[in-house]
Amino acid sequence: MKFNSVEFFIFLFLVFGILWRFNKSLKINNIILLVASYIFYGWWDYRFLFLMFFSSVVDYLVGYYMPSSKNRKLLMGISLSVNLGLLMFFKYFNFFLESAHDLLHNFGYQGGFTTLNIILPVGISFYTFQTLSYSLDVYKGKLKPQKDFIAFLNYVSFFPQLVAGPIERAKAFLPQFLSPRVFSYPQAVLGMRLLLYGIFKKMVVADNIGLRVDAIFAQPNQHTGLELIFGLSLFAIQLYTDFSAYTDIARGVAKMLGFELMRNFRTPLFSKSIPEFWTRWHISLTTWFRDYLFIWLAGINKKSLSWRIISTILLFLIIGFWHGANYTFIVFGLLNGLYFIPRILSRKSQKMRSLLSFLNNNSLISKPVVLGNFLILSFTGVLFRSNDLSHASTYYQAVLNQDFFGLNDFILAILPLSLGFMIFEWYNQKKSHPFDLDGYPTWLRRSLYVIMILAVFLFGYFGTEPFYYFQF
Amino acid sequence: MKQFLKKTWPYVFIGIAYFLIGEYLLHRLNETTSIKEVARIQSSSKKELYYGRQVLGNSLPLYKYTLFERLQPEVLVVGQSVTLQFRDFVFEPFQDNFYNAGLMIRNLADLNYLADLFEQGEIKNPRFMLIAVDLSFVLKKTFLDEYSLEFDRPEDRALNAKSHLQGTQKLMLDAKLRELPLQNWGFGKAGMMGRGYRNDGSYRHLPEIERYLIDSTYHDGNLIDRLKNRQAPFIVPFEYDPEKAKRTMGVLDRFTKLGIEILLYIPPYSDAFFNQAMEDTLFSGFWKEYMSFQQELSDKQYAIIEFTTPSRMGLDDRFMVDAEHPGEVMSALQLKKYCDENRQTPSFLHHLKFTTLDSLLQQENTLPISFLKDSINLRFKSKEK
Repeated sequence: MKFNSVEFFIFLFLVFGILWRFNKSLKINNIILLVASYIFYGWWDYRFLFLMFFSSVVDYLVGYYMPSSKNRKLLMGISLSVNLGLLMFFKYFNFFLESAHDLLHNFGYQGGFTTLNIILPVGISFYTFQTLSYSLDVYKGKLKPQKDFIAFLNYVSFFPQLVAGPIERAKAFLPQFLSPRVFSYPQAVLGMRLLLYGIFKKMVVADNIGLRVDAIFAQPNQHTGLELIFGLSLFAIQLYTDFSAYTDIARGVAKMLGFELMRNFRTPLFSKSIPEFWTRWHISLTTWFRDYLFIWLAGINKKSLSWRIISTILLFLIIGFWHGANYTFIVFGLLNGLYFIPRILSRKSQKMRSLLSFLNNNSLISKPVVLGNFLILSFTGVLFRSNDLSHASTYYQAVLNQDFFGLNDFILAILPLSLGFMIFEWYNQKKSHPFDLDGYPTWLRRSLYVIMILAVFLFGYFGTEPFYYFQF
Repeated sequence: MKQFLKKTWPYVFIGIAYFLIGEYLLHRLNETTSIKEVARIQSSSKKELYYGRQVLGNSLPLYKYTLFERLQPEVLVVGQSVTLQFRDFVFEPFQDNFYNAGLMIRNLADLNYLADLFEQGEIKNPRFMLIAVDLSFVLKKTFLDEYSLEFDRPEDRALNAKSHLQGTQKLMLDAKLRELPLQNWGFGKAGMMGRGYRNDGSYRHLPEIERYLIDSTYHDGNLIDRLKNRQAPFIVPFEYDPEKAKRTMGVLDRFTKLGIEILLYIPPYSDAFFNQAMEDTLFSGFWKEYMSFQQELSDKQYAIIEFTTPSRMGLDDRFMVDAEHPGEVMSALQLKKYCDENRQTPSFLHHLKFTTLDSLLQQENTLPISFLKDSINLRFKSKEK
């Protein structure tokens, strides 16, 4: 069930009503929530439910037996094998098979091969990481195992964030299923506001931009250099608005149901450097990798600067690969890793430190730096959007080779909306959320709500465009 | 909770009110009739009815498949849009047991699926099939291969809430669309406007006919520009795929083994387009191989209406709807010519009479682009006089 579908709104209306109506018993409330989450997920394909249930049961049992077990490493190994195994099989099996075939082909192997017709279960990259974090925390002794099976199943399957995050940590999220929930008017209002903002961002901004981006990326050779630069910049905005819209809706719905989800974005497109960008973009994923992989990896040789660079590049290669089984994501990860080198060098070079500090803090230069950083992100994002490396290469070449000037009306028409949106976010970036309207006069707030609702109906995209991150 | 509901209700009401207004408008324009219902009425009615939705969209492969499944005709036409001008009366006396399923099958995989359906007995075998083997069946890369009748059949947009919201959006933003249709029969506004799919599955090109009556010259439809700009269907690599050609023959064999008599159809191009296109090395390189494929089919004893252009038939480009779509008169003449020259195979063709066709060809109202046979065209007949 997609957030931007009519079914979802009917579903949400029912869940909201039933959940608060039967809020007298926490156990019943949790069971209702679990049923709702499984209906939500099974709406895509009921077969995916078995997979999620299996993954949940494995981690519940691993956690359950971990404290009393003499063989904790074995249990952790089971959790890692099951979760990463599922991910590898469903997401990467064909990629590895094809890559092996291509490699053998280069060495003269002429035989054929068969790929499996595997459907990627929606959200598998997100919920496997969530369950894995639970087992890892229990293993490290940071978290006590959860005995309440229903609460644990809810932790894995909580429908607002199941499909595209935020990837919640058990420590902050699981306790929310264990204490009685009380309806809070300000929370519910804030939830509705986030929901409206998310829907507006997705249907009006992201999807309308996406139509242009699709057209430009489909035939890069048919566009001028300027259109191609707009195309890649628009894609960066599309990706941000699309993904952050999902998070806004997830957080909004969670609030309406009495839950708190972590913030996943802090206006990342206004970052002054790539390292800063990664602290503001998909925060739940980057902190996951930092806590469970990077700290361990970098700790192997703390004193060596080169090892720090290597481990950072390795980290971003993995982050890139997490996004999908395609060489484009690997190169995307590699580039992002390389962008970290100046900051790593600044740890030991005073000159580098001064330069970075100047770029970040000088009031005259910091805004052009934001723009420059945005362009670097956008150019790198071509890899993220392209079907394969050759497609990305065609795009980059076309930027240089095509006639530069000229902008067609179809692309031009989206610029006021894109710019208007970015300006709105720029002025609200310091707030707890860009759509935090506290302090606005009531009439203005209400007018904004009505305008946004009408804008969704009149200018929203009602096609079948899914959220971009669903593919991961 | 009460306070929350009280405060949010007006905003929810805006959404509900908008939805209800939209539903009223869509219903008023006959856009909401489901395909199942359209198929039920079209398949049982003798009245001319045109299916076409301008606001919600046609869900075309589903529409065609629903009628095909319902009718399970003895005479079946399949292929891309180039087949859509084969009309029922051309296959006299089988006009009541005929269906033109043009655009139901979009690629080789779909054709293969059709063979599966016949083999598994899910659909009764037709006696005779006319199959258009256009260039997409042997092209290495074509967007048409992304469609799948088996796995990705479009849903009926009349039954999809999101499509209704999309339709309402169009109606709200374009006042012209809200005008009520002049006729009170047919389906959807597109049908009323004259574009649409007839009961026999063929397609009615009213705007092109209207244009022809004002200015009876040939219109290319920008195909030559698309070739120059390497746009669909001429997207690079515009290459012949021998593997695909082999697979196409394999699927055709399956129909033959089922005892279905087949007549293959290599669609024509207008002279204006074809002559210019042959000067383009990309096109001519591919064309040479495509014609070898046609020869190969012929050598394998497949009955085949070979590639032609209007001038090769003693006609001119006005018999084409555009550069790649033959008009209904030309399509009928192509079939008749084939029968006159090769009536022995397939044997089914022995049964065809062409009485209605011959009589229509004699009528002075018949234009190169159209027989002007539909009653809705009567006003044009008077104009012509």
